Amino acid sequence: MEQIIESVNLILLSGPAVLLPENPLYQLLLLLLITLGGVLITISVHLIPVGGAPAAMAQATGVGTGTTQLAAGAGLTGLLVAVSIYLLSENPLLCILLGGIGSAIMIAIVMLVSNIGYIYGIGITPASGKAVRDPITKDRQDIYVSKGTEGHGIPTAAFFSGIAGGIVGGIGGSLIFVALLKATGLPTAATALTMPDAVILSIALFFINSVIASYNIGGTIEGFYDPKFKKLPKAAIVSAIITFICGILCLFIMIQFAGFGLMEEFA
Amino acid sequence: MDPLIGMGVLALIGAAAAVAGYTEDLESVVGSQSNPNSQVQLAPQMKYPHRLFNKAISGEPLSNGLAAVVGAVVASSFSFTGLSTLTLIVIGSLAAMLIHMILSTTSFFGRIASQSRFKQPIYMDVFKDNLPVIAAYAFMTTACVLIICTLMTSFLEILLPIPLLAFILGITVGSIGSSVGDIQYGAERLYQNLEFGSGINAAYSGNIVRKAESGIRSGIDNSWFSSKFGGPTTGLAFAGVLFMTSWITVLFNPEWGNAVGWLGFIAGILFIAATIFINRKLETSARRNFGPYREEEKTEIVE
Amino acid sequence: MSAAANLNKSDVQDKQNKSGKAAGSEDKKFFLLEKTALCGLFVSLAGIYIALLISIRPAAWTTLPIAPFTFTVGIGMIAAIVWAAGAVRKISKYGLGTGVPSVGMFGIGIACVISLFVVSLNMIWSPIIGAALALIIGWISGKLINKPLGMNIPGMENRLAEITAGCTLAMIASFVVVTGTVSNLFVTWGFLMRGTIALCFIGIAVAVFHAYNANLGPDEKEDRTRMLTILDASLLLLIFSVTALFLRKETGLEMSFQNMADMIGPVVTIFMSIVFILISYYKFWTYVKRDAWKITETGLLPSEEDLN
Repeated sequence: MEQIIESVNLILLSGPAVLLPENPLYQLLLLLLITLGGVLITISVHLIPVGGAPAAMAQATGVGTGTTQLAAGAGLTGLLVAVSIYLLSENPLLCILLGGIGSAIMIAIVMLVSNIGYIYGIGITPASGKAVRDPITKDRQDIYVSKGTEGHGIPTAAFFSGIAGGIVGGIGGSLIFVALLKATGLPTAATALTMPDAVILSIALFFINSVIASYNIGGTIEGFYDPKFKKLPKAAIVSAIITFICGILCLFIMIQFAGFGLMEEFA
Repeated sequence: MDPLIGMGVLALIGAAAAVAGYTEDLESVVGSQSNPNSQVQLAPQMKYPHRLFNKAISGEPLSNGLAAVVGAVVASSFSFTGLSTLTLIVIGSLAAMLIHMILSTTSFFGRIASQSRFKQPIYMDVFKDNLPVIAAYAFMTTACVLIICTLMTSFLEILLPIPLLAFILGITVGSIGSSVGDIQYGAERLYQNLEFGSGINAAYSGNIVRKAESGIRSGIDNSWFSSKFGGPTTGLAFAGVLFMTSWITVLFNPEWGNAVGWLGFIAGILFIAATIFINRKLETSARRNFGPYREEEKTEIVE
Repeated sequence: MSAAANLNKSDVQDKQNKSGKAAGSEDKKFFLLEKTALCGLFVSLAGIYIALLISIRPAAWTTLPIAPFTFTVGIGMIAAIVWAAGAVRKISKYGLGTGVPSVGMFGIGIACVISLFVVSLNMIWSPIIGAALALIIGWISGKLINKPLGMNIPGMENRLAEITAGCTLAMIASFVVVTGTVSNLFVTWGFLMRGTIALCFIGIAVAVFHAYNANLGPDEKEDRTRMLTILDASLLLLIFSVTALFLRKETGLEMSFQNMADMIGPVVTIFMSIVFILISYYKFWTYVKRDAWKITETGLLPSEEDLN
């Protein structure tokens, strides 16, 4: 019995298989792309009009949910489109851009149906509380804001801002996903095995960056014309630093796990 | 893949998604989860104790994501038994439902016990009445999400592990349910005592309606109300999101060449442009029909 | 949610006014030397290492090693989650402005990256490296969130370090619960390719923030919140051990001594987690009975006289 019981993990855990990437410059480029992706996610959270809990009571302009959660929902939809495109096509640019489109479609449908709810379910007009005139259509806003609220619904400028945010956030998430998969150096057919790693790491980076952005805006924002949008540079710097640190770890993970993509036992 | 089969699968996905969105919203309404929870939580503090089910597991995306993932993980762990896919989905959804029930129970007791200084009693009959409804809706939502995952992995060639896919879809259905469906519950149903057609004045926060047509209002009454507008719109939105995002890749499959993929890109942009146009039309028609809340001042505000 | 957070904030300020000195003296102690931190760190690391070191060599290279002591990892996982949840409670008392769950999602995001990183290192020191890295990265990000972003929550960097470290240890522990090792080969095969990592991600996050979120209110009590955390963590452990059992069932085809021994770890963990669930639920219910204003079978709304 004593011969059987031995610390198997000392044998199994014999250190990483690959220590250094083969092409450091290429990996550095990927690291910068991942950082860019993180910053894009932060920007997207600032662009999407989110009213938080007050918006669900028609007390604030924007979509009535939390910033992190809406951005996550949109970003993950984009990521799903990016995954399905990556499995079908060899073109990374198409994958990234269609990821952005997927996010934007999600945000567009959510905002449109929310507006239907506000207009026909509650009987209010979409109006912004932060701008006197809509920056795009030049309509008066202040007289359409009901008493005791800070605006409600999603006016056209906020709608545009949300779609821009969806595109930017989807592109950011898909960029991280594609960069992580490219780090493995495997052909597209074999990356299906390392895809779960890339997806879960993209989701993790997405949540990290959207939480940073939502701490910066403090719950509610109306879009690019909101005064809070001017606080964006601070959040971008913080998210760039944290994404950079996490990006190094992520690239290391992908390089180490890439070896399994070629092993026959895993197929 | 044959585009015709793809369209059929898409239709099935859309149908399952509509049901998932509908039940997700009603589940959150029965339990007053998500954003309107702030009002239900505030009411006893403003001396309006109520008989609503106050559960705050977390925001809807995370709690639905958890339910979907638990369902998917349990279902895929049982897959070695060789049971049929539908049975596995039912087993997984049952497990997810049980976890969801435990989390709802503890949230209900915990939140109200933390409000004891505002003298909000714990009504055991409210708990016993509402919990089965919450459980049933949670079961339906998880089952529909798992059905969508199965269809996506087996027909649309999205080769992700099912729990990961369920995680993504659970977060998405939760965030749609929380942003679309809760509006009617939070701004209309909780404040039916206020005049229709305006936002809720912040001064009235917490002054929720507590009496029903007869008796005292409970979460089930609220789900009856929400099932007429809030639930269907949520289902519409979730089905629309899944349909429109999958439609791009099914009809314009990039496997047939990059040019086809770019056509899909253009189609997506056209769809977004269409939503912008419809939204603008809605906004102008609402402004024309409802009119402003106060008269336009004589002097223009200097910008 | 925000109204409740404001409410909580004012309550905290009241408490601080009453006992300003106590709060000041607490901050001077290094945060890792507090009792909860020491307990969380060492119990979880000890649990992980007991199971890692006492295990039996697998029959073939592709089968999982036999780890009969996975229940110690389960205890370690619960300890790590309790540690992180305690930090969430302390940080959320100040009112984050975006709800309690966001801080849990931030912690689990970093924890996911770090725990996969240490698994890919494939060393016996992986759990310790993970805890250290999580403390460092969590502290840095807390500092960054506090200073340039202007959250200005006292002790943010310490608490965020605790949350990330707790989440990381819980995640590594869940790897060990399911696969019995932190070898990158088996974690990839048993966790990533089956998608169980998604349950790790969302399950630990919910276990960390749910207890405080579910007990949010002016009369929130620490013991009740902690008991609920144990309940959540045990529920998660139950699902993980069921997954572990079936993962082994799937790989071992014939009933032999090897396969029977293989089942010991998960089966013990399942029974342990069920016992923990029952005990913590019962204790939670007694705390609710203690704290609630009134528990009634049915009844009308409280009258005006009751409220005043």
